[in-house]
Amino acid sequence: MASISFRNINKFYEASQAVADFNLEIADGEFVVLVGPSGCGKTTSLRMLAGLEQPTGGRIYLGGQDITDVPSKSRALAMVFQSYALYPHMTVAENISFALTLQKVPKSEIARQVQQAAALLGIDHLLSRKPRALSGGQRQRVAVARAIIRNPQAFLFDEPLSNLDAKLRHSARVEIRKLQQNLGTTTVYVTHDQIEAMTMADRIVVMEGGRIRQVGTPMELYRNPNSKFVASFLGSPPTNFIDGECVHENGSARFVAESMEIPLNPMTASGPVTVGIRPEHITPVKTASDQIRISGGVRFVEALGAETLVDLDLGVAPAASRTVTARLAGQHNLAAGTKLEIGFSPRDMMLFDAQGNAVSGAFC
Amino acid sequence: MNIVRGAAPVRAAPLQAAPITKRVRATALVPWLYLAPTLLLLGVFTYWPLLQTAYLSLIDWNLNPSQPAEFVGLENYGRVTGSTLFQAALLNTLIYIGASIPLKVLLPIPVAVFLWSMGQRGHLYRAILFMPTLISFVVVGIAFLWILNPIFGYAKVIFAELGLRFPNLLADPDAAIWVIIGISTWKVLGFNVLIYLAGLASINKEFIEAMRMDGAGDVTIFRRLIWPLLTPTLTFVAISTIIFTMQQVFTPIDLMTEGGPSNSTTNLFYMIYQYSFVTFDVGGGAAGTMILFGFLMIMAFVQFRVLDRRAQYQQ
Amino acid sequence: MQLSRPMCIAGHIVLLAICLSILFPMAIVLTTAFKPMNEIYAGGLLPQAPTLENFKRLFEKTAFGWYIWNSSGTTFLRVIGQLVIGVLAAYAFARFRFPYRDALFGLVLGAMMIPQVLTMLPIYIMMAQLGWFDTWWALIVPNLATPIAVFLLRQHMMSFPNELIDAAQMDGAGHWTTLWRVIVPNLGPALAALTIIIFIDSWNEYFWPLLVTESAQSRTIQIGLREFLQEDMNDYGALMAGIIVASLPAIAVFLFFQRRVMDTFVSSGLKG
Repeated sequence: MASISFRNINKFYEASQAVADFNLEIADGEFVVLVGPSGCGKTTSLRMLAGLEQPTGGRIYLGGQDITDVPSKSRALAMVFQSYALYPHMTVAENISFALTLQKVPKSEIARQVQQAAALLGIDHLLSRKPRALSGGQRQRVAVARAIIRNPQAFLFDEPLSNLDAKLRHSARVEIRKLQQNLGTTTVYVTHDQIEAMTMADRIVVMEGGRIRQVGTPMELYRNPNSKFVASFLGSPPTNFIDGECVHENGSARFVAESMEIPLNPMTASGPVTVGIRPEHITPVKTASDQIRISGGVRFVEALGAETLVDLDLGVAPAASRTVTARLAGQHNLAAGTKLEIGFSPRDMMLFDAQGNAVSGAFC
Repeated sequence: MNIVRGAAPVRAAPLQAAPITKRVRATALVPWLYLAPTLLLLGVFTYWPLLQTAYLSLIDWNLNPSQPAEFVGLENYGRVTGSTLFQAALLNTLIYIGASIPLKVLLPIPVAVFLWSMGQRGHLYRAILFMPTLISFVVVGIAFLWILNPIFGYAKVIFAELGLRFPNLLADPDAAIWVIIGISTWKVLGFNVLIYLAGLASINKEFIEAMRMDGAGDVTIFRRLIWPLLTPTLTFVAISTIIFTMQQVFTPIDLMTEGGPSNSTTNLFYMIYQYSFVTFDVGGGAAGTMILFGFLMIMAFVQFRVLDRRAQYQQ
Repeated sequence: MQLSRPMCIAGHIVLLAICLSILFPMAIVLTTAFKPMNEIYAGGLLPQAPTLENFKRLFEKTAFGWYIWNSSGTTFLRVIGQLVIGVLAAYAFARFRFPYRDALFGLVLGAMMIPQVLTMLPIYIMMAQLGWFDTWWALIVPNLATPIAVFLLRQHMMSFPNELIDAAQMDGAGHWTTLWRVIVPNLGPALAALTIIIFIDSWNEYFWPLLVTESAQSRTIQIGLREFLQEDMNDYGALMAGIIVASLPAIAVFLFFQRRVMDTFVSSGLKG
């Protein structure tokens, strides 16, 4: 097991910059998820750690040693690929043991370790099959078994669940996380799926445009996103944003969006700002005395059974940001066009300045 | 701490500078090692001999190592082009090519269209058409020598049934070349049909149905749709057939006529062989080779120009 | 597409005529080979008393055993050698970046356009200097580089999934191990196609072995048949037997892999 650190990593492809100024320290045994939209540089960063790409600048350390110029075959890292990358001409057992075979590990020892890894993932009955005879979920397990058998310094996952259907994805998430906790192996996991990031990570690294936007535990990022981008990227349905203005008057400050007014911390700078409120923090009944109450017309209802998503037109802001989505627990009999009063607490609200950066302590 | 399992140990940072540059240089060498056998072989057995042939065409030598080679400049070219053998070979080469166009390049087109319209049912035809491709030209030549044998051959039997006298075709200077042309057509016709068939397979049959709905007949469909779409295949077939005709015809010439009678079947390729290995006139053979090289270049150029312009126009 | 009826009938007639003219000489060869001597020159179509004596005489009169050995041996070594060397070059072109790569690839393809006749004289002299006449070296070595193989294998390697190669690297395989243990085992169809092409090309080769084989024991089947034809002009029974033996491997390949052989040749455009 080993710690990993990226120091000032840059990566250019011809003229375009794929990764910029990437600095990250990953502790031994930590599960770190790199998340972001496609093209954000997360996969490139992972591939540089794997040694499949050479950084244009900066150094990468594994267990305190500089591995920037070590070829990937000598890095003792194991990777699970998006397509699983199982060798089509080898059986499952041969796939799992390929790395050990190359290391000239004795046959009996290989057989023992293959058996162990296969049992761990529940694929011992598939060992003599070829990959094309396996289902997607089985292939995914083989790919994981191939990674763990090498007892690597770290696991690297490159969107390993994106080819699975939704149901399998859920169980695979849990399994990978459990496995990692049991083995205690440092893990870097790349995904574009914020649910995977939230549920699996010790720490999440949100990336955009080749840069790290924020690093933190899932709950830190959820509660205190440092930007509109992070706030909107994590959470589903995404955070509601209401554009408005911060107005100062008589030593107090208010957020104003047409008829909607919310008191702000007087330290907040005046000018255009955006309020963010997560759909799950919106409630129809008044639960606290300091709640901000507002009513809007129901535009669209999605009944999911356990919860109901309601799109409301608040009519209080410029057209683009006047619709908010509320995530209400249970079932609600609401028709489009009816009026609904909702409320949300200032504690749950976020404020962002004109550049999209979070303004902390804006609500009292 | 050993962080790398079963592999080269990683050096500590301060020691790294030298080994890294060494490693990078080694990686840069790797593709060249993979390429080395091919590049070496092509250099030694293709490109260098091409240059050397140019040099050999300027000397007078008889392949005898103890005999010194004498530099004679362009004299060989004059001698070769002035010879009756060369004139016959050049003329025959043009006849071989001229006859190839209708027989081997154009005739297969309607045959391929017929076969194509049959769809999967034409499989047996296709298998039969393909067979001559795999059989060696030596086999084909000997088989036809037997069939055309003026005394015992099958052709004679058939002619006799019809009450005709069977001529000794290979001994007739006017007929022998047509025997060779016929045999090389036998060998390559079916293959060209299959290449056209592959070209036709890429034509979307919905076009044809659409044209039928518009009231077009077979001839219109062929002229307006199939022919234009087949032009790139035609270019390919024409070029490969002409190269084939110039080279492969060597075998039946050598087996059946040895260029005769009275040089009536020899071509440029066979002439080079005669100069080089029958009379051991290396300079003459090499000069002939360079002339053939020039001839091939001109042919390729003309074909590309003519057929390319057609193809572009059609599109 | 549906041709109109008269066209369709005309098509069948043309195709039948062509196919018959292809099959007729083959039938003659086949029947002649099994006829006893007296029937061969009598002109009947089918053998009245089928016999193998022509085959027996073929092996008695000629060094046909040697011919078969030489043809098989050189063809086998050529297939192996040409494939290995082709795989190596294709790998360099498909998977590495290095200076002059595209120019060199052009040079390799260009070699396809240079017919053997243009280079034979200097190579012949080279063989003489090396003392390679009448040896397998002369039959094999000048043919070992195969541009068409480099071209086809490069295509296949370029479309090979990158993640598999990355996975091999992560598993600790270097470029050499990756090539032979991950890439090559998955190139089956391309290698099979090339094997067939090289096999037929080598087995049927005429011009080059004609130049470099002189002694009876060094000849290949094709050259052996030529010599037999010239020495024993009128033993057509044994000659027909010889060309049947010479054609057997090609016919066997064709019967076993009919579809693939046809597709292979047609897609590569190689004429036999």
